[in-house]
Amino acid sequence: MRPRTKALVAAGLAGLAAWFISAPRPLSPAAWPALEGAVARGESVFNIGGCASCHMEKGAKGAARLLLGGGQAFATPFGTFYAPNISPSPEGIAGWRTYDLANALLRGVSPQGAHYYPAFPYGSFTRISLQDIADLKAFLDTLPPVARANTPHDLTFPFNIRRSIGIWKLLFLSDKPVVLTDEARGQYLVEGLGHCGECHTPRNALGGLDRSRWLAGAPNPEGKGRIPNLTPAGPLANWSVEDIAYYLETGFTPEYDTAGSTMVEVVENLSRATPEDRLAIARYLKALPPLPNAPNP
Amino acid sequence: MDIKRISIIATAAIALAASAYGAGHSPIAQRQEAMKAIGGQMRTLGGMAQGKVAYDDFAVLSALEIMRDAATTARPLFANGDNPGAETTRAKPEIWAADSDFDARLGQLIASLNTAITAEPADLASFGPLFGAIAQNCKGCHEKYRAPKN
Repeated sequence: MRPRTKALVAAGLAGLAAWFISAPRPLSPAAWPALEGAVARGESVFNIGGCASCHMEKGAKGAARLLLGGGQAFATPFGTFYAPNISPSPEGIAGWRTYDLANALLRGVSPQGAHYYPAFPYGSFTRISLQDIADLKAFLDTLPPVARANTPHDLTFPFNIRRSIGIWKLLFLSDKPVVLTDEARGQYLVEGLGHCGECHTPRNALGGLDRSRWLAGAPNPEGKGRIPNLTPAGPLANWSVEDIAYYLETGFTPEYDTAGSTMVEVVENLSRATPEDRLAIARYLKALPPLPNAPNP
Repeated sequence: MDIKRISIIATAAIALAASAYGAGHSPIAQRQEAMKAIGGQMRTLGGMAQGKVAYDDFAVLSALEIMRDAATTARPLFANGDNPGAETTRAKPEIWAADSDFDARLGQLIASLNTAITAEPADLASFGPLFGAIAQNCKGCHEKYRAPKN
């Protein structure tokens, strides 16, 4: 073979390999178990997962928090993402099976087999239990349908090539525990369903979470200020488990200062969780390996 | 007079002294003193509301009165247009804008404090909802009118 032909063949093989390894990997439909979803439990999954915060209209209060037509814009270094419609309407998730919701949450794959962008935090949701997904599906189906067509994301090259997310997933998508603690429930809520790490852990240049700095605080993607360190070496050092749980319920710190910015929404969601779950989150945070605050950029 | 009451009265005296100190200082210093006084009393009340400290109706009334006085003293310092140096603080400039609802919210806080003082809650069960209303008024304003920490 002449050198030029060799190079072409090598490039072709590399391209084929890239195409293959970047393919979306849905769950096996054959292995999908039949699960009954319970609406009341699903509502609790919905609240701890904080689905409304991103999928409702920005700033919605009261009953409007359950109108999940999407449309909120999220400016990031990769471009602007627009939250999609997840209400049970034709523009949303009408006709989805629990299996489809599981693929979205656990694998970041749409019913049409395309990758979702990880602005949708499936990097954490990949740890959600199948029963919680079945319950969540039952609850979502009870919500009012919203007729609103999705806004396409507005991303820069090469992030506008959806297939490139396949590589991102190979690098960063894992359902393994991040740290080892004895606090199974709290771990599930913080690392999985509650997706706390998505904001409280710094990211690398490719947008993957830096697990060596797990929950040690991060720059605020919305600009001003920093997202606080949640490890016992950060500002929570002198908070008791009860203090943390009270904060998650009411938004008040032990100094009676109040939660700010996006944490206001998180408290709104977690105030609806059970006291046991708030305590479980608090115990997990207290069991984290202490890490110093990240230096200011 | 037991030692607890003496300490409560001493705290009240310190709060009064602090507001007298504030009178000779900048509006920012005075506003911050008022916020600190309110936060300190909220800690006393919150401890009882959470059941960490035994309920004490006398201490509750003293705390509520200090908070009401601090909020009332601070109210004119948030008047429209008057904000020299406020850009150095976390107070959002909207507070001093003509269409701000800040003053109305501060009025609501004072009203909720007065409601609780008039009710003289004798036990935790009657105090809980009154405390909740006050706390909601604190939060509502912080969420709307305070910039994130740097």
